[in-house]
Amino acid sequence: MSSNLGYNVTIAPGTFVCEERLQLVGEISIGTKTVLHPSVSIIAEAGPIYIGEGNLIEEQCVIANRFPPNADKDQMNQIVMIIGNNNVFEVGSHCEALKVGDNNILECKARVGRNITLTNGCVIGAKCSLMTNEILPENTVIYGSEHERRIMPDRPAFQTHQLDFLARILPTSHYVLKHGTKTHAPTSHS
Amino acid sequence: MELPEVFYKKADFIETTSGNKVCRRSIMCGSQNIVLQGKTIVMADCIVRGDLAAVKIGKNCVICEKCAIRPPFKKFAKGVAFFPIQIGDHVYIEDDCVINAASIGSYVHIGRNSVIGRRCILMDCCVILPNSVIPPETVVPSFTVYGGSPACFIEEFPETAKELMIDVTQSFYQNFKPTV
Amino acid sequence: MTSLLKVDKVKYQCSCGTFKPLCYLYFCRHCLKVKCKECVILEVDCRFCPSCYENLQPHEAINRKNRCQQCFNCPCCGHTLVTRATNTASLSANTSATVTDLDESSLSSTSVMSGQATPSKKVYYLACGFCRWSTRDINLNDQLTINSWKQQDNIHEQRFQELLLYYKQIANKEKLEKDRKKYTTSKGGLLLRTSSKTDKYGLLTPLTRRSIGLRTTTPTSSTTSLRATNTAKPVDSSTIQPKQSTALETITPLEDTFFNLDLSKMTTMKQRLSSVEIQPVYTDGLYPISKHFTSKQSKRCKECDHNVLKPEPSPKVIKFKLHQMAMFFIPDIRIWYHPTWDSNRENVCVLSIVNQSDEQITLKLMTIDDILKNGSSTGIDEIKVDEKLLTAKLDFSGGNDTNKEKIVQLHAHIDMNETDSKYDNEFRENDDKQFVIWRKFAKIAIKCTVKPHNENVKNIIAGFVMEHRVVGISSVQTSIQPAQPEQNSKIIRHLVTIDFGSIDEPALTLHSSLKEGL
Repeated sequence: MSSNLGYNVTIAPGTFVCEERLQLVGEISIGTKTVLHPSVSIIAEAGPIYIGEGNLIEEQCVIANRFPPNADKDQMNQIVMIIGNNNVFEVGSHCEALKVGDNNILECKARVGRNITLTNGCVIGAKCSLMTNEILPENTVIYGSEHERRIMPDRPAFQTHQLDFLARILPTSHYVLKHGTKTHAPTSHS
Repeated sequence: MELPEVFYKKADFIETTSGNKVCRRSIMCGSQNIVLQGKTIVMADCIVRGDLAAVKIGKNCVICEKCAIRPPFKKFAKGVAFFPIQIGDHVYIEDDCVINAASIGSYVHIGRNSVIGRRCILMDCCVILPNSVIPPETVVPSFTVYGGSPACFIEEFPETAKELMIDVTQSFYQNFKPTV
Repeated sequence: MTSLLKVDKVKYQCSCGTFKPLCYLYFCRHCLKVKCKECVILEVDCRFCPSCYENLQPHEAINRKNRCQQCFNCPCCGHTLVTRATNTASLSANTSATVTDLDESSLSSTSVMSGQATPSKKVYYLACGFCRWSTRDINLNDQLTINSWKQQDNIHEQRFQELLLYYKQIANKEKLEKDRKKYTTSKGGLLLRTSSKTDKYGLLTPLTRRSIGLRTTTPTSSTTSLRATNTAKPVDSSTIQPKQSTALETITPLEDTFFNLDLSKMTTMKQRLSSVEIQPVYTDGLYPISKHFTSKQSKRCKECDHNVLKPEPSPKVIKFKLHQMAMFFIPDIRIWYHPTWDSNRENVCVLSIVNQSDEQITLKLMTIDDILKNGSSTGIDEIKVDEKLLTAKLDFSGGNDTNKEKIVQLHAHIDMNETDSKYDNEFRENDDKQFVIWRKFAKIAIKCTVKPHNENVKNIIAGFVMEHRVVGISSVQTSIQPAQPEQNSKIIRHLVTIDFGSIDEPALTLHSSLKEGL
């Protein structure tokens, strides 16, 4: 774990956070049964990030609470980014949405901008990029190079089985952060 | 056009006895489950998830920077299982690809920034254009070029695919040299 | 791989005159000519489903309209659908299913029976992994076996049959007419052979009739004989005449409801046209589309009808029974180095030449000027150079200027692993070191100069001609005199154009092995 910016992370019991190539910045809280694969970045520079329960965050994901462009960084109030439960962030996805509900899936290399609100059961397809200012209705699917949309009749299936499996297998081959609160001073290097 | 020379810092790469060159900055999880059969180059910031299931990569492959090779999972009534991933010989995978395939044949070229979905099967001698999305469980036949999102058949590939690909991967390996 | 090597930079002229990269070209060993995709005839060798790789006999495939019975495309996004299995939770679920399935009595009865035997039962549905469409979206019942999805009936089926029959009839008629002509030319001798051309007006019907009469047994006139063959079929020709399509005069105006639509429930144009026979307007009318077969093709030279390419019949195998690609007969040229361009002087470039053939090649390189000055020598196919194509002049450097033709020898292609460096020395000694600046195995690097024609040139395209001997195969195997390569070998020339790209393009980095030569 290397970062020269400080962080303060609270990890709930039953959560598996792989330490390898993990990048944490700012105040972060991760709920129980959530799994973070190696090489994930969680950057809470404009305010804290609260991640709920049963989320699956795969490799090369970036979850960031960034300053909006042209904002005065010192004048701004802190904005909280909240990610609900049972969301899946597949490999290389990039999420800056301040509100993410439950049971959403961001497929590989999907990008979601700051002004989007993901409600529940939404699927952002592989390589789709969403930078608009809107609230996505529940069970929306966005797919393809033309970013076509449709509404699914029901939510995507839960990932509980996969989380259970990963919970079993990850500690055997990875260094996993223990639950509790960890702080890291901004100036030091480790 | 001939391939240009690519120089690397000797300290950055580990060279095995069979000629594999693996960057120290790549992440090889569960390395006991990863087989590189020789003369394969794995570049910086690649992630190979051997801890989830076995990963077998053939001879003379090139895996460029920031690729993620990840065995695909399949849901069953009672839990999930990760399946081994097999990659053939003379496969060239460009930068920023996500590979979730079940198997990739030999002489395959995957363009940069592509996503190969879960349990895809890429047959021998196929080409994936850059920035493509191959949805889960797709079969890409031999001698075809696939591209787009969702990827579909674009054109036929010439029957010299095998020879071209051997040429590309071998000359890439020869031109991949440590700085003196 | 073509993008990695940028193969489209160097193009060879095909025998038809077009320019193509070498790896796309075929070589006919009978005509001893380069053939491109347009100069060959395609023949379907085997048909198979690109998804499940099921291999079918041609007649079987045609019966199934060249579509797979097991694999479906998503009507929503066009991607392949995946079969998903779920367990119907309990008996109660099964009984509720039987209520809905009542109209399909046979199906529901089996589900009741099996439902009693095992409380949980597997059912299957189709789902798309890309846009997450599923057969449940259109309220299609889950199936009890994997491949029991029915084809949707084509409402125009009858009309198609009608038209097909009609066209068959026309085809039959045409074939008969053709046969008649053939018959007269082959059998009728001199008189009839000349007549076949003039018989357009039926002046010679009594003569031709006689020959047709042999087959049709109703020798009244050629037209009646035609009808006679048709009546031999079960369908009468008079009933085959299909219903004429009629033009609509009045069109009902659009209803008001048309304008307040829920766009999320409408199909897109692409979705509508992908199931062309139904063309559903609303998304609940989408139905899985059977996947089209794909094929493996063999390729045949248009001139001499010999195969240039024949794949193995199995769909999964990438080997070829016959694999005559131009790359295996003609040396491959690539750009290796070019400097930052200066339109006023000669820019020194390096090209590489690789011999991929199994035989040693003696290569003669000529500039475009040589060709224009000397014309073609006897026995060699002439090369026509269209100078408008080229924007720069390419010269080979080194040696005395009087001898412009450059001759180099190339080793046969060998596997890189089994080579040793001693092998090169004999050829290296004979090389003009100013011209051939580097040599390794079957590959050499040559130095040349490129000068743009004028200062306005934006894109530098230069060309040259190379000449070498190829050995063909004769159609008749001469077993008595086995070793006679001279008879079939021929010197062939190729016009090669090299697109060096824009004049603003930065110089390529010089390869370390070329540094001492340049």
